[in-house]
Amino acid sequence: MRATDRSRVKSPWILHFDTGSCNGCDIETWALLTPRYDIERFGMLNKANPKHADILLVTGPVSMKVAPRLKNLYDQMPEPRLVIAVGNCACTGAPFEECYNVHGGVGKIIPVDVFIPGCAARPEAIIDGVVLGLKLWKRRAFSPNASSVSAPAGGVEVKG
Amino acid sequence: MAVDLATIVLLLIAIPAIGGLACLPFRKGRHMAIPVMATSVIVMIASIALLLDIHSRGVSSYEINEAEFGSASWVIAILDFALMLFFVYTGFRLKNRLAMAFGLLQLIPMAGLEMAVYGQGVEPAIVIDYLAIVMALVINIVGSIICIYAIKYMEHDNAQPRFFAIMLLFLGAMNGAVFANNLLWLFFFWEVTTLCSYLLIGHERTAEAKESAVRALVYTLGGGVALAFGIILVNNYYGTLSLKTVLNADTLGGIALLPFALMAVAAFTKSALVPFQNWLLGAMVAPTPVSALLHSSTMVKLGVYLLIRMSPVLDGSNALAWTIALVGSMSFLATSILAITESNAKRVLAYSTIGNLGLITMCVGINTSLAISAAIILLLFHAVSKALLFMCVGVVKHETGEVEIDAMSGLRDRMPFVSIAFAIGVFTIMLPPFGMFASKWLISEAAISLPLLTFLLAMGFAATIVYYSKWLGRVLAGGSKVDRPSLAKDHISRIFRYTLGALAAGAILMSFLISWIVKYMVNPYIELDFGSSVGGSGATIFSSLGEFPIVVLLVVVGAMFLLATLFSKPKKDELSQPYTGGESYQFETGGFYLMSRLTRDRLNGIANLVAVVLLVILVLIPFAIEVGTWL
Amino acid sequence: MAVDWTQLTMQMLLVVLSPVAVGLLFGIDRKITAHMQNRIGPPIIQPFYDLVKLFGKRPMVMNNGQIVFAYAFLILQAAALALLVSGGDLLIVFFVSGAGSVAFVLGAFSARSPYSFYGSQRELLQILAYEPVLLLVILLIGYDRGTFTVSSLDMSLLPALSLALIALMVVLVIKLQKSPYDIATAHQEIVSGPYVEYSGPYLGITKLANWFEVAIVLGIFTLFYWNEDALFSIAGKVTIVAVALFATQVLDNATARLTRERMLKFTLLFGILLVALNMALVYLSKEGVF
Repeated sequence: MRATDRSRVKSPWILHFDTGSCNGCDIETWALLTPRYDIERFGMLNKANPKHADILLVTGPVSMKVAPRLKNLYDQMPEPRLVIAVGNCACTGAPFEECYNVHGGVGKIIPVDVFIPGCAARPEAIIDGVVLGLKLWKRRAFSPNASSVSAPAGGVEVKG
Repeated sequence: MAVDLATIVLLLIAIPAIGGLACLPFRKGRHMAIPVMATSVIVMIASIALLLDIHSRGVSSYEINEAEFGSASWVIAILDFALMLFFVYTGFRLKNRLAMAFGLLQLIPMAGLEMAVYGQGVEPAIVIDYLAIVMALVINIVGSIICIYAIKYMEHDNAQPRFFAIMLLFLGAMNGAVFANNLLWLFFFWEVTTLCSYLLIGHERTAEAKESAVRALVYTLGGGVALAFGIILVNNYYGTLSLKTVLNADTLGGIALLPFALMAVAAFTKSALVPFQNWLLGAMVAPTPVSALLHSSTMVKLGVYLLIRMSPVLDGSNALAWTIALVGSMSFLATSILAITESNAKRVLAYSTIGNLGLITMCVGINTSLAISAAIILLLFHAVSKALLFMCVGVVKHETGEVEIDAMSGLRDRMPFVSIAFAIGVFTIMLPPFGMFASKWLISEAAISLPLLTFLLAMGFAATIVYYSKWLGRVLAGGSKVDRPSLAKDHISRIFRYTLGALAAGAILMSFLISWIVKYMVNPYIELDFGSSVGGSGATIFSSLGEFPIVVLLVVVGAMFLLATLFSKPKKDELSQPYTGGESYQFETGGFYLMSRLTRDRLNGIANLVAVVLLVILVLIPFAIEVGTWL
Repeated sequence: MAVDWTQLTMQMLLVVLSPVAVGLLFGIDRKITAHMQNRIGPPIIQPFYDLVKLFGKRPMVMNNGQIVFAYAFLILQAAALALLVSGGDLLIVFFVSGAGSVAFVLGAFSARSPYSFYGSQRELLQILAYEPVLLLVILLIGYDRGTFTVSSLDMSLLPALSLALIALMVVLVIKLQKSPYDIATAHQEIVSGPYVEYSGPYLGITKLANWFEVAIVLGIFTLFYWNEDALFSIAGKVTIVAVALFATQVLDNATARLTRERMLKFTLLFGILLVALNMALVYLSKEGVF
């Protein structure tokens, strides 16, 4: 693997976006930044800017209003990038799947690489999911112009 | 090549006057081009010939006696009185008591002086030294380029004959002022420039223009009164009206320094230093060529030119020199901070001009070889860069009618040529490794002789960077696009292109040639009184405290810019949109002006107050020294 | 003029290794900060992982102005560092580094984006805050020593210029973008400020240029100690830099971000006052008062 590929695994920067969740999964995600879980030891930083981020961590069932914004942010992320859906709402939209104002899961808008179920998804599960995403990167070496890794249909599930 | 230097000087003074008169009969603006271009070519060639000739003679100065000019003294005396009478009449007509009072205060004492020195000639009448040549080159080359630019700029104006006549007359007057050694001649040319400034500021005939013109007239006439009294006292204490004799005399000290204090005050009004800066700010209502020529490159330089001339005298009194240095550095600091708060482009440039003139004044006050060298280099490079900046602003005003900084946002896509010329102007005026920066570096080194000044200097330098960067940034803000802005697409007239391009290229070229400029044009003057302390050796400039590898840096920076610009086209699939939290609106952002109007006015007031106190001290110092010697 | 090849190679090595050293220092900084916050933190070479990763991303910019100015930023800072290392004029080093900062600001302005715009204006405000202090410290060095050329500074500037060293600390806090004065890249307020529209390799270039910039400031710190014995000299210089950096870290972890006006007022007042006091002391000692 080239040096940049190895470095990418060691330094994944995160963009955390909430598409209408109850903030339960968001709180768990932010808990990762605290000394107890400390994801900075993996080199992960919470960057608010899609142009700087490698991993898009999405929570929430993607309401109609926020969908174009989500797509906008996804387009502004340079490859190689990962999309990780955190929580049940982001995975399938449950329990809001049938609601009229909700798309029902991040996968309906942008391609997702890792699904992390849970309500709220536990911090340990989120860490597991991100590490799994990094393994996806490790498995395929990237060239910068390749399009995003599209996960196999249905994505890879983390047993939470 | 033994050219008659007297003829060249006569040409430099008379040809513009004749060219100006020749403009008057024309009706159409187009035909004005002929006398203007002819005059420009002649004075440009004449001034360069002057430089080459003096250089080939190998002397540092050349004197020309009055005899060579025939009855010039008579002509000048008569014209001078006519002028002063005109000022009194103008004051009367405008019902402005101050103007009338100043006019009378000039007229009556000068009449007395003329009668007192009737029959005595002043020898020499004209002195050509390198300081005068540097000024002459600036006046004639930069001035001519601006006049040519004005041909296109003023194309829709109603009173072009009068405009060009006065502009050309002004060039001639400036030439006369820098070569004059006879103080009466200097006074006459000084007042002619006051007249030209008054007429040109009021050119547009709007109420605002008239008010600004009158204010400028009052301020500069006040300076003329100080100059008049200064000259009379020079005659009183030194018995001569020859500037050269006075400067080389052993200063009598004490009260005999009073004329120089008064002349310093006159210089301060001419150069619009604090507390006189209002007239220059108001003068920005004039058409842009006027702002470029009079109010940045040449006329306001006349004040600091006089100060540089006077610098040998300041050896006599540290207090006088320090006060002058304080006035200069205070002007620099105050105007640099105030420029951050301005949103009108021309006013920002006006503040910047006053700031740089303040720097030159400060150098005169520090009065070491390093400082004066820095002052002359600053004078030279500032004229070129500032004229370029004003001309760019003028083109924008001409094409779009806008003169606010916030309206120039994104100019890079709309007018690429002007944006690049503007960028070159800003780079050459504040960034290393260009010439103006070299002078700033020398000034920083010189300032440690008077450590108090370093504090005023440091803040001023940082403030300069802030206001120029935010303006340039506004201009260069571009949307999301693949293509570089194409220079050819810019639909501006050829005259604008050539004049802007000439000055931009000139600014860069001069930066490359700075060692030669220092060696051949600055040091010959410095060595007369100080002994040189700045040297150049092709690629590096040396000063007594450090060295500046200017050419190396220029090449590095230039190569990098060229390469980066040529190879930096983003591919179509690499374009991105601005980050706005996922939204897709277009956002317009407001500018940043640092302080509220109240704070700004307060700051202005404090600066004016301190400056007035300094001026009072300045004039009182000779008296204080005199009293001190009695005790 | 014969070229001293050994010296030239050493200087070039120093120019190349300085940003590497700064990267390591940033890594150590993050580790110590993490331990101060009762956690483990990333490995020390994390900044290098970050930098190299950036060069492997797809470049995305808005227009070519950003690219031009990013390169300008890097090259100007590198040139300034090269000048400093080769013993050039300290004032020129300062001004060229300043030109690099201006290039960065212009690059941020080049992209028509509101966060970038505000970020660059804040960066200008930072420049307004720290540049006078830095310039004054350098002028004080010149006043004290009588020369600005680094190669002829063969005496310890301490203890004569101790107050100036403290003033320099404030400059370091702002340059390192640490609380309480991390105004320009205030993460929660304006995302990344001037860095916002840069991504991939161009972000890597600006980061590298920032490392050069910090190397220059730390280089000025090292001027404050000198000893004939090369080993003592290096030990002393490293100690000064280590103490300064540790102090900024403690400050960073103990404070929250303050407002822009506070930054301006405090930095200018505090910094200029200290330098003025120091200058007065130097002046008095020159006059023979002590």
